[in-house]
Amino acid sequence: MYRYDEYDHALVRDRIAEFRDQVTRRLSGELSEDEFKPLRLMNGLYLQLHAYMLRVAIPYGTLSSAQMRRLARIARLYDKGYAHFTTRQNVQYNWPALKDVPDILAELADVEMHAIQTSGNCIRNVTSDQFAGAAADEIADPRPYAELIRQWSMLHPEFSYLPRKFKVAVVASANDRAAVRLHDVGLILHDDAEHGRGFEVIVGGGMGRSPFVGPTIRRHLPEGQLLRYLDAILRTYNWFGRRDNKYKARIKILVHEMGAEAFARAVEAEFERLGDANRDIDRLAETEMARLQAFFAAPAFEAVAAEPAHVLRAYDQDTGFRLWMDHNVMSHRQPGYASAVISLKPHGGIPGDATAEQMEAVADLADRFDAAGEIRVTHEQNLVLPHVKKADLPVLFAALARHGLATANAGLVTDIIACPGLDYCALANARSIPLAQKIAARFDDLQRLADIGEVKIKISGCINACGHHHAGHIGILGVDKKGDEAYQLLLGGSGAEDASLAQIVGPGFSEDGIVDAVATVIDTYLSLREGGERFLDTYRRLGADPFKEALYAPA
Amino acid sequence: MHLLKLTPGRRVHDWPEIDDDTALSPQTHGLVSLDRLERDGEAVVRAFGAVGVRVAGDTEPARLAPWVDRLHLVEIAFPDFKDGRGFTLAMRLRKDLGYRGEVRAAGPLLPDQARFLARCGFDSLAVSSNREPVARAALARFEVPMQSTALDQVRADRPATALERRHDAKFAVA
Amino acid sequence: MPKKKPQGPWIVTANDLLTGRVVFLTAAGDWQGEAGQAAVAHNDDMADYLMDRAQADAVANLVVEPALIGAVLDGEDRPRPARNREAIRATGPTVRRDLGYQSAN
Repeated sequence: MYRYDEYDHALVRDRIAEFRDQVTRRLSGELSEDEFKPLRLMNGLYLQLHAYMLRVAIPYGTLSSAQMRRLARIARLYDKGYAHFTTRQNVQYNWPALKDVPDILAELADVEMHAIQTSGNCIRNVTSDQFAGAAADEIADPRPYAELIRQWSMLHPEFSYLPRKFKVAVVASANDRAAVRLHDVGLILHDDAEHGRGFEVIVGGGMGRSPFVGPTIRRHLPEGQLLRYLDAILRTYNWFGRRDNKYKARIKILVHEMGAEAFARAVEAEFERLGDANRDIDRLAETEMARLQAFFAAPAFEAVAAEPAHVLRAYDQDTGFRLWMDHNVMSHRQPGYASAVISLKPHGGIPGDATAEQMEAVADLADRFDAAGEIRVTHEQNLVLPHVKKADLPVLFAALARHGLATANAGLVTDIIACPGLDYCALANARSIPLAQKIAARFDDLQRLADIGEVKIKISGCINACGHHHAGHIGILGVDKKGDEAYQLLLGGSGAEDASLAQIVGPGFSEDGIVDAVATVIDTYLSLREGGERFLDTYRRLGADPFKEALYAPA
Repeated sequence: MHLLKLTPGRRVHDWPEIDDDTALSPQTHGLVSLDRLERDGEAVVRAFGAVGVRVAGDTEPARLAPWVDRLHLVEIAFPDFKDGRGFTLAMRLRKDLGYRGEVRAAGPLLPDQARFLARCGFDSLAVSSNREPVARAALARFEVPMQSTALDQVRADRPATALERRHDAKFAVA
Repeated sequence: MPKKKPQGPWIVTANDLLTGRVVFLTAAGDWQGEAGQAAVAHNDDMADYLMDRAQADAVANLVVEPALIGAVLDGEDRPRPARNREAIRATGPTVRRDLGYQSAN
């Protein structure tokens, strides 16, 4: 993985000194709250429902075991012994004191981490495929590109006071595991004989109160021109993006109002104006890419049996292990290896939460079993050990189970994305976590979950859609109904390569009603599915009608 | 208000402000609004030895294009420290219009923004004197930028980026 | 924070600047973590008075985001927030009863 050099270290060190000074000025009153707020947000610090919340960047979701141990230490020393992994592959602490935050940032800097630009109207942490470097279907590891973008975006002098936040995602495979069409900018690496290696550039996707699947504005951007093109996109957005209404300030609204073609022309014109004079930037970026790629070289894989006999035996004999293998273990490009998804969705737990002890256990397991000693954070709020020898899987499974981390539900009904909701969030209208818990209780049978198959349930506690309800096969949106929590049901969304936006099916439900409604939708699917159809396939084949009928028809 | 110099080479000083209704009289230098400049352009240029213009941060750069060769100061007034269009306007002025005179930042900016202003082509910042020490400290921070900006090709006095220091022998630190 | 003035009676809440913790303005003019200790305003003048005091403490950099919220009184006239959101804010996450004010740490 990437390691800081003197320049990265100096930047993070300066940033901590700057923030320490800003906190001091805030406490003395030299900075007002209105002035301080954007500054603290650009260091990841929110004021939430109960307390401050600090969001720490995990660039493209890659963590070393040492970094994970440090995150656990911070949870224990400065917070309440746990942390929350987010849909943007970051991690959040829910209870830090303002006065401690500079010290927390210094703890992070020791292990080459920071909280820079994890909030605020700036370029946010770049996300990518959690299986980067391990997936059999990738053209190349997308993380060197993501790192190039991370560095370019760090304290960008022109693009730090944008109309609104700006999120970039990069993938390098036809299977989109980072929801690139639902980002401000999505990049898909292609490699073909005619054009060579380059990116499809998607702009203006997103969820929130105005969801859009982003249009492609460039089919093929030569990889060496990536930064110059991003510069052109950001300048166009910074200049033309709306600042009169924060709900219309995201780039998706600009692209929608201008039209994708007109927006693309404006970007291309800006790109041309950057023209020849900036070729040096391209050349340097290409040289830098070679440096970055070396950091992400494959670990030293061993030549091992592709299908170890004792694993096959355990698979046949142990139902629990078999379910976990079927759902949480992903194929790897290296024979004899696999990627293991560590579910942070134990039934009855809080989606994405991990205790300091669990984080330390995962760090130890990464050291023991991962060829690179690495951990990944997924946008579905789980963790991954990317490079595990198949021969080690039974031992890994048993070790994970001891820490409550072996729930065999990856991609299944109870692998629910839930935003923090009204239990933590100052913006929320309704709670999300208790719903996830009630749905998990309703489907608390791993074999039944496996029979139902892939269903992505995503719950947001308000229209801002941090729980990605628009991208849920089944989406749930919490609303405030005269002071009471109520929930709308959406069906048919996808954040994958077949991206689509879920649609509201009908009138909303109470808290218990929505749990029943999810069960009704699943039962309806089971009665209608053909062959190996996923829920989403059945929904797309039949439309909403049979589900509406089951949900709303008088008994 | 105090003027903080953001670029080492530039000499900066206060400019007398001539409001839109005041008659023009000969003077060594004067600052007018863009509306005034567009209304009385040639007369302004004749009256002042050096012409400065004040523009809002969201001014269309094309409006400045006819004047760039005759201007000595462009003061960009930010309506709010969170409105980043002024950064892009300065960038466009220098990069697209080739403007070589002084660019000054005004308006309710934070002293913490001094470094970003300097890197986007601003030469001076109007800052209250009690905030000047913070602005000076901000200017000295983040010595090695992580990214190039669109300005880099037209400015000799810019700091070498991390990319350049890593890969380009001519920027290597001795 | 609610934009419109909620139904009275009212109490005043904010977050402590230094720690971020939820606090309530008491009759003694200090800030406590327990909603039950909050000063109750039964009329507009009292509500304005409490908010003025809170704003002064915001200007003095003791608290941030002071807000007037609706309250209900128990049998001993102790207030608690009326709205669900404010009730959760006062006590802590409903899914972690070991945390927040309810855990007394």
